[in-house]
Amino acid sequence: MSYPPKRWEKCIMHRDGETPRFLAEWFSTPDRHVFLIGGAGFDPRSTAVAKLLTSCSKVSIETLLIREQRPLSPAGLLEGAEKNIAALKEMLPNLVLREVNIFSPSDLALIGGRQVAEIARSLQWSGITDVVIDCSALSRGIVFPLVRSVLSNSAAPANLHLLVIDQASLDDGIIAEPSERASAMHGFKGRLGLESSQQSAVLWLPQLVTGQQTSLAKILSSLEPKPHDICPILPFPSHDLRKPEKLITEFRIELESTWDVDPRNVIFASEGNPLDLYRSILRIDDERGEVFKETGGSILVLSPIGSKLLSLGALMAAIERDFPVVYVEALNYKFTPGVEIQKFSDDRLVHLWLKGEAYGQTVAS
Amino acid sequence: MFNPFERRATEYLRDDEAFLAVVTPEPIRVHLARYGSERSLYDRLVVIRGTPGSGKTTIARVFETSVVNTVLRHEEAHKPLMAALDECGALQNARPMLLAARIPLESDYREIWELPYPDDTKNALLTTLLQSRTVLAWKRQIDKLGVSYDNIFLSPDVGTPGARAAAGAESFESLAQTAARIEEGVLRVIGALVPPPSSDLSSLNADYYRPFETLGDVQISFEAQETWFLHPLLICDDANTLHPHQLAYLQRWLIRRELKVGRWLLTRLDALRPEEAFALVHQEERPSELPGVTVSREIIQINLQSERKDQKTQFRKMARDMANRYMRQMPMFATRKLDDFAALLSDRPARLTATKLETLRAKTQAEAKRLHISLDRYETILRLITDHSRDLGDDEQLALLLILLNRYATRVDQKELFGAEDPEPARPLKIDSGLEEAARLYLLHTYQRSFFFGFNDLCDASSENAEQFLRLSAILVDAIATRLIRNQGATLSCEQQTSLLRERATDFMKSWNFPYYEKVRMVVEAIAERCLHESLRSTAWLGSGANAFGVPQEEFERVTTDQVELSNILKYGMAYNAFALVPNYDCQGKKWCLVELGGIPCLRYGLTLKRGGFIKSKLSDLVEVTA
Repeated sequence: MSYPPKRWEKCIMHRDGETPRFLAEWFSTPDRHVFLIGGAGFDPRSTAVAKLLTSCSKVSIETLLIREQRPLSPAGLLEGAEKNIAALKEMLPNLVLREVNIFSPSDLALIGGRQVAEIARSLQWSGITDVVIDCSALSRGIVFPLVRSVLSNSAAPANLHLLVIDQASLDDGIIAEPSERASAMHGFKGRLGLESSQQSAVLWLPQLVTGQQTSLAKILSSLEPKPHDICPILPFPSHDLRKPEKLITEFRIELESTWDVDPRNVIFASEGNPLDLYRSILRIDDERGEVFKETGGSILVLSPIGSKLLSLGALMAAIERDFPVVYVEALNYKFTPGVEIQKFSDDRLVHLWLKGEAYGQTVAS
Repeated sequence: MFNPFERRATEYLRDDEAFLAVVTPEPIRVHLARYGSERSLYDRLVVIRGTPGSGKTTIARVFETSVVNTVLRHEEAHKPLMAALDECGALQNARPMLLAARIPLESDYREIWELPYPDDTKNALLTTLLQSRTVLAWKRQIDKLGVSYDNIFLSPDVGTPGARAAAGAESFESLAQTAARIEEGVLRVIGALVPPPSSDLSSLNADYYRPFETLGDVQISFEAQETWFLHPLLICDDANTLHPHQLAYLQRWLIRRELKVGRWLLTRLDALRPEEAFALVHQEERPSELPGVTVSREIIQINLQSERKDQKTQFRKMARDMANRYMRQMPMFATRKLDDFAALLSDRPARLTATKLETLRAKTQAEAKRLHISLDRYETILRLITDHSRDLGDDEQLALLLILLNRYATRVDQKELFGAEDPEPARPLKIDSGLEEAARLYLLHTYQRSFFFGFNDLCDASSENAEQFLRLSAILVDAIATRLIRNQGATLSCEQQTSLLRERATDFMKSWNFPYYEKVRMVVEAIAERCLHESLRSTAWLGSGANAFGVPQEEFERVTTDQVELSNILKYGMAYNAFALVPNYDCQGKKWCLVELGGIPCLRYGLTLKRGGFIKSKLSDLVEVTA
């Protein structure tokens, strides 16, 4: 059986300490002009990529920092964000700071994705050769539309790099207070709910995350039509090797009673390799596409709510096949920074090269 | 083990048959049937409100044509539901009367408000999307009936020819095709990363697309010489997702008499702004939002939480039916013919052990000594208790004695207690059910005697919320199943029930996950701690105990203007059953608004489930705890 070629089948990825070396080498020539987009939040990872880029390369860097505004943000987190912004301003004096309201002040509806897509559209790219999106301190609701906007903008520079610090323990340490309702991520509605896809077999791929039963219940409840099948994604291999078992125990009620999951339907995805999840999702889609070809096709619904790195795999799959992405945005966060989770070295940095010269595209002069 | 009680929301059940197997007709009969005889459910706007999990979506789904048709196909199995649908006018002579479909107003509709267009354009897009999706949902209902489109006839004399042409209402097939084209066009605009300029919207024809004004009854002819005349009904679910301006506009739009279709709007309590959520509890109308509309005449408002009079009894009846239906889904119970959930919950608590009883007796004697109460008086009070009821256990009697000794001591002049006389109290001692409850509460907190048991307590702890009832029941059902596996009797003891319910309530509160939930938790904790402290006072001055804070009504009415954050906290707390508001509560010649804890916090903190006991408080107390 032959399936359509995958856009990122041979995606270039660096990790395990290769990323700093790559960045130093790639940005060593003076004809590179970087546009860095990152987050200006409380996340201790906010400054790491900027620090690395300014230290390892001599190229000019234009910077856009997105500050996500959420209601009910605890004072401690706001202070942390201010500190990070001050540190970034020191490193990148010309940075531009844009504030994005994630929620509408009137009714707490989700509006951040739309705002960031508008910001991305209005960016001036002249003279820029490389766009670097540092996803470490940006929320999924911002990263997904942002990446899609840049990828779909024909005027955008040839090279698009995603950087993220792979620190699942830090992601786990940031506890989200979920908003009231689940929604499709802006720009990732797919064909879910359309009349033309009413006959399609819907498969929901929720990423299991500790303490997120309520969020996943909200997502399932919001899906129309309801999924015909559910294949939960478990992180394996993962930093904590017992994580899948713990998650299965924690989600036993959902797996057994609410979702009726067939034990054979669990997807294992490497926590440290987004391409593993990307390939798994596309393989499932390919195979289901064949099976349901004659009965209205198949729709996969993604709900990446766990580790940021895994989310990037879901992002790539969603962009490539126009999968709907449904999630619950965080109204605010709780974060008790432990010393151990704030320590991250450069070898935790993961680089994904999504578009550009490595794939035969040329840089406009 | 598969436990259908854990599944909670019926919306997860895809198949109509599976859905009907767990649906109880009671809420439909209670809330809707009274409007059915006059057919007012289908000729004006009907607004149905309730907290999450109160059964709005279930009600909506029952009315869908395919579900009604399934009910008719299995007439014997669904007789009560059929009767309820008949009372509501959804059935007549065993034929469906409605072409009904539920439209969840999910985030797509709210997204429209964020588009960079003038308000009129956004409102037009909203109603266009709603109409196109409704037509498509009706089409899906008809598809499920298996009727050829050639056998469907639309009334040719409804609406203007232009409107009919724009809606494609020449035939049902073209109506559906037009709707699909319109839906796809609107969604392309909503889903675009960057929306197109407003000049590009003209191709959507949104201003002229008005199928609701061109549709009368739909005639469906079956091969078996049977003809149905179905009145179209739109059921908008989750209207709370809309922006407040959109919701107000949609209500105004749906009130219009030009619309020939029936229309229901289902919304959650927290959809409204805090002041309106509170007004709803007050049962007041706020016509200001809808100028020119006499709310009572043009809208039917149904509040699934408001019918306080017989609410408890009705909920218990509904819950019992629902639980039994769920139990029948479990082979472990079905094969043993265990189909009455209530019968499996014991309501005979075990008495205290002899040792504990002796400790308690010694305590009453020590208390009498400490209070300088004579032996004669001690005996008199004990007689009063035994004369009051022979059914009380020794432990309850002794706990009552402890309370009455303290009450006696406060009702006599303290100086007289030291004399030789045995003084009479200023007011005679009396025992009532409240005091019995206080004694049991004392035993719960001092000797861990069971307190929450039996089906009625389970219902009361559910705050009249079906989903909460199922979630609480789930843990009991699991425990009963475990007993069956171990070859033990199926009946669950009162001790197990109390312990399991409190355990689940604790988990439930830990898993709270809604806006302002942390602040809601702070309010709940503050109320619970204070209520517990006062409820366990030695004189039990509150009788059965308290589970609420009472704020003077006048003061409470300023909450939305003076304390914006607190009003939001209260709004979400109410919406998620953490507490309820009981306004205009008369007590000591004053009006109070009670912030009454829901069943879950009462279980968690061991407070009475009886209503009405409250601690006088002020808004500032609530503000302080959330600071």
